[in-house]
Formats: sequence, C-alpha cells, structure tokens
Amino acid sequence: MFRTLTEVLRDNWEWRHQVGQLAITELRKQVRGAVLGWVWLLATPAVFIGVFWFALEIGLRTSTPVHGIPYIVWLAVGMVPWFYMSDMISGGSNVYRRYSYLVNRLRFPIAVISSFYGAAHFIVFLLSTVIIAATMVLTRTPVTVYAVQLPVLAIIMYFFWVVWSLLTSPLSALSKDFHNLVKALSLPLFWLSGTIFDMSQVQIEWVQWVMAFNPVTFFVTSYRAALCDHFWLWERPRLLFCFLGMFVVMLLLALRVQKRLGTEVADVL
Amino acid sequence: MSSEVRFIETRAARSLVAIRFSHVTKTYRLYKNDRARFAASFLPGVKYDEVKADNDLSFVIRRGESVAFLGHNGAGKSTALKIITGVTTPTEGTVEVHGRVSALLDLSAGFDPLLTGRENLILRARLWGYASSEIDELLPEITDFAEIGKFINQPMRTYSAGMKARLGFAFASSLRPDILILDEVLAVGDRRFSKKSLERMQEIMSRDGITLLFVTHSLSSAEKFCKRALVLDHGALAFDGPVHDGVSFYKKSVA
Repeated sequence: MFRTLTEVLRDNWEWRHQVGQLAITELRKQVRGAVLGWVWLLATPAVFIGVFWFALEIGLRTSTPVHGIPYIVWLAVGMVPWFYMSDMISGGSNVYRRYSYLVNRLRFPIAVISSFYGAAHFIVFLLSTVIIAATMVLTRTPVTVYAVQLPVLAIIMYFFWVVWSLLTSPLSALSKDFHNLVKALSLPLFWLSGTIFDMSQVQIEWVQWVMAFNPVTFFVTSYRAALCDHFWLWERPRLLFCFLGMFVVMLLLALRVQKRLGTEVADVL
Repeated sequence: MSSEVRFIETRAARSLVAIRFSHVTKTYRLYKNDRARFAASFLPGVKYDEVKADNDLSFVIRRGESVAFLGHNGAGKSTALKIITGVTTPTEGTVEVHGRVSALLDLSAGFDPLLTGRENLILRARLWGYASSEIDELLPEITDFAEIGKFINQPMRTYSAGMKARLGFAFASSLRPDILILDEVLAVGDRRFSKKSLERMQEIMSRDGITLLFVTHSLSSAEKFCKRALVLDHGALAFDGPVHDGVSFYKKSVA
C-alpha cells in the first residue's frame, strides 16, 4: 500500500511538466468545434445558475436571502464547486477509457491521467471563483476574514477528487456498468447534497449524520462558510471530521485498487 | 510470481545490450464476461481461462541490431513489443530496456481523434520530452514527410486510415530513438509512400547504434532490413538466428 502511494507520487512528480500541457489539451478538446469556444466553459454554468435562480426565487418564491446575502449570490457560491465536482464524478471516474491511447499505446504512468484531468477542470473552477469574488465585490457583498479558508479548501477539493478518480477509473475500465452507476448517482447527489438549499437548516438528526459523510455537502457547505455563511469549519466538527475520515478511507481504497488493477487496465481497454 | 521491468534511459550507460528478456511470461486472464472480470477484482474464486501470450521467453538483443519478429497471428510478437514499449507489464520474469523507445504499435498510432494533427504531434513530442524549440524544428519535417498538407490543422477523426498511418510513421521515425519498434506498419500508403518509408528505414538503419525491432508478415522486407530473426510460436521462442535461416524456418512451419 505504502509502495503504491510512493509510486503514484513519484510518477506525478516525474511527469509534472506534462500535466499542465495535458490539462490545457483536455480543455481544448472540450471547446473544440464551438464558435464561442472557451466562453462555453463559463457560460454553461452561468446559464445553469440563472435557471435555478429563476425557478426557485421568481417562480416558486421559496427562497429568501440567506444570512442577509441575496439568494442568487448564495446559490452561485455553492454551485461553483458543484460544477467541478460534477465533472469529476462523471468524467473523472472514467479517465482511462477517455485517454485509452495514453494507457495502451504510449508509455505513460496511468496515475498521472487523473491528475491532469482534475487540473483541467480545476482551472475552470478557479476562473469561476475569480468571477464570483469579483461579483461579490461589485455588488458590495462583504467578503470577510472567513474567506482565507478558500485556498486550503480548493487544494483539498482538487486532491480529494483526483483520489476519487484514481479509485473509480480502474473500476470503470473493467466494467461499463460501474461507470453508468456512478453517472446515475450524479443527479441525485446534486439534489440531495444541499447545493440549492441550506443543509444546516434540515433539522433531522440522522440526515445530518448521513450528509456529514457526503463530500459534495462538505465542499458546498465549506465554500459557503468561507464566502456567505461566515463560520470556521472547525465550528462544525461533525462535518469536518466525518469528511476527513472518509477521505482517508477513500485514499486507502484508491491505493488498493491502483495496486490490484493498475497493471490490468492496459490489458482490458 | 514476480516480475520486473527496468527502463534504463541514461545515455551515458551506453550498454552493449539493448533489450534483455529473462523468462518472461505474460498471462492474460479471460473471463466469461465483463461482469465476471469486475467481480474478480473483489472476490476470490471467480473462474477464468488463462492464455499465455508469451511463455518463458528469453533473449538478448544487442545495441545496433535489427531484428525481425516472425510468427503466426497470436504467437506473442505484439505482446513482447508492448512489454518493451512499456504499455503492458509481464506477469513473470524480468525485462531490461536500455535507451529510449519509440514505437508504432498499430495503424492508429495512439493519436487523439479530437485533436488536430498538429496538436497531436506537439502533444506527443512533449510527452517524449522535447522542448518547444525542438518541436518547432521537428514539425515541418514530419508533416512534409507524411504529405498531410492542409489537413494538419484538421481534427484527426477526419483523417483517412492512410493519413493517420503516414503521420504515425513519420512521427515515430523522426524522433531519433535508441530503439525503434514497428509493428506491421510498413504496408501503409500507396506505392510511392511505401517506397519513401523504405528509404527512411534504410537511412535510420545506417545510423550508428539504433536498434530496430520489426514485426511483419512481409518476409521480403524482413530480409531487407534485418540481420537477425526471432520466430515465435505459441508464445515461446522457436528460432533465433540469421534472418535468412529464420525466414526459411518460418516458411517451413507454415507449409
């Protein structure tokens, strides 16, 4: 297990110069063929946020300002990490099929594929964060000291979903059913995890416990903690420690899967 | 079971040996279906068939040699080349590879269909370790040779099989590797292009110290480029010697 970890880290270190190049290539592939090209990377999420805002605030009139912050701002702050996570849940869980030529035509360490795929979508996430922050400044929404949690959170989020990709991609390479299952989970996760509502307002104890182990809830809640809801993460120890515990378990599982299936992936694709 | 593959890329090493296979076995596990394969990654006792693509294969290839791999389909030639390239690992045995390998393992050559020819070449050259300035020098040479013309800026999904193969060959043969691996790829293109690639091969062979591994069913081109032949049969080494003897050995085994 420990040896697999050092191998994954060493491969990533040795190929670090190519990770950036490959991440840009991944983004290029996504925008290929569209006249507006790069605009779509940010326009699609923006339209998504706009539609939800319209449906919930204008249509259903269910939303009220959360902690004195307009609902649309609060919504957008939670959606930005969601878009990154959504890409990693569906696309990140299947990177070996997506880049099969790196697996079985060239000598390329497969553990690095997750890193650059994650990096590509992380770039979009960072751009979106900059736009959100600029919007908040322009609309004179106060940005407080709690925002210093953001960089740490962003880094943890990047690594968490890269580890997720290391865990799920070999399984998806072996079985298309597995990947379909993961993709099918993406939509329920969106509705259940508190991306469009405030999870802390759900006053049911067992729901709170279950959701404490949901990484989507963790990242959405913590992003809002930094920008909207203004609290430190350690003030919600249940959420923080359940997440950290789950991260460790997932890392161990990912290493086990990489160790057992890492060499097999090239033979089955 | 233990296996090890060592890639030694330092040019200073300049070993006399290019490739050493010691008792290499590659076993593929064949499951009834994908579900069984998936289950086997968690559960013990899932049934499977074993196929030994390479079976206790041992040989040494010295630096500068040109070796033809002959054998029927399924004899284990491609698996051996894939192990040398580093895209698959042996189940048992040890492999040493001295120097940098450039391989053309199939006609699609591992290009990304969504990227343009130019983007693919840049990406591949980066992965090979070239700097931007070196890539700028290399690109025109490759595209000229492949005769891709204006298609170089089109996505590769729009390429014909021949164009892909020409670009693949032009790229693999332009990299100046220590070991060049070509798997069934010389039959590409029209007569003019295949004449041109034969000339390119001859030019490569005249360089000092380059090792060529060549899988082909065209016995005449094997005799033309290679001095030595390895004939594989059911994953095992059936013949190892001068190429003319190897070709007649292979012909006899077909008859």
